[in-house]
Amino acid sequence: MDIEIAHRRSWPGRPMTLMSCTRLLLSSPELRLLLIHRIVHWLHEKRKASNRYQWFWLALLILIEPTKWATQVCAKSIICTSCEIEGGVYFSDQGHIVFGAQKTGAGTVIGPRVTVGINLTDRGTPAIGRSVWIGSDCVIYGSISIGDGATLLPGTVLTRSIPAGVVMQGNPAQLVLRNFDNTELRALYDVDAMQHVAIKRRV
Amino acid sequence: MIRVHQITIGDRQAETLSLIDVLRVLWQNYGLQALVIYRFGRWLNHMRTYRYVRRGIAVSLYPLYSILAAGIRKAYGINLDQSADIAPGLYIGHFGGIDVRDCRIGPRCNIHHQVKLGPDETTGRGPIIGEGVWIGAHTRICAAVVVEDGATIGAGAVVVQDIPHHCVVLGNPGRIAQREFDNGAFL
Repeated sequence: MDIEIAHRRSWPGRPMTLMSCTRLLLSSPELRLLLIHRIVHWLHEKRKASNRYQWFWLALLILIEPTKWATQVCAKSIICTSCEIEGGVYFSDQGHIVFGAQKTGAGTVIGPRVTVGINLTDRGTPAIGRSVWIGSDCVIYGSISIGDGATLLPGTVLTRSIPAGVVMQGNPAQLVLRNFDNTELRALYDVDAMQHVAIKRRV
Repeated sequence: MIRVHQITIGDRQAETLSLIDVLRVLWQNYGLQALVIYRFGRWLNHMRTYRYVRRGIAVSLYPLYSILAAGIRKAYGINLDQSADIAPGLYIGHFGGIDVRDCRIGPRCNIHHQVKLGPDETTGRGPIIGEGVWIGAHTRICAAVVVEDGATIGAGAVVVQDIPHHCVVLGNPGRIAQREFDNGAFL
């Protein structure tokens, strides 16, 4: 799940114990936000599915609302209630993320100050594939789909669908590289993405 | 003064607002809270121009304002500076990284998160923004430019030139992508 990938990123090669997991959960506001989001999302689904006990789920939702508000302010980021997130997604702890994607696959890493989906009248929200790396300051909007294993370098503004395994950069976004393997990029904590991609490009 | 009507959700957009509605909107909408405190500060500044009693009230309430404004800056990252001149009907979409200084904003504008509206570093004069302008997320307008009525500035744009009315601006550096665009549906 989410805590696993965060653990691997913070302390590579260290076994997961109850102690270290608790420490991670206490120190990382984004993990708490994700946890609360999963609970709220689950309650919403339950409320939609049941027709007799709607009031019960609504009461639980109202109960959890102050906690949600506190975590949002603490993490300085918002995750929309309606978006579906698979297990094992990493959000950057620096915050300022506004996240409203339709679907997000497992293994995706999202940097700070990222905006996904803009609430306009006629446009949909993006669907993000598995193991995508999204750098800081990215903006993604419109009803588009991002393929598995794509990489968005910092500062990209993306409005079109992209296939799997490409690297995009710039405003408006342009193709930099195809068939790029971003496993290393996703595993490392502090890495200069531009440099990393430039080295791969030369090889 | 502050646009509450449009924020109330969808089909329940009634002409009259009950107190409950207003309170719920205030609870949910972070930008509105910041705007209320900004207006409070402006009101205090206005009161300070008088003498005796009204000046006394303003001076005594000023610490309260600075505490509230600092709280908003810390918690939400919305910095509406007193040097900005904001007309009625501003709507702030999300919180985080909003910095508005030394500029003039017309009525019925929309601002989203990570928007920087600031003065030019060399001249020290800020942008002037007209009526009904939609400013998308991650936009940066840090120059003495004029954005005229009804312009739409797309997400992630960096505006460096004057924008005529009803235009769409995209990209970095911002270029005009479309003219005569009606942004009534966004506002």
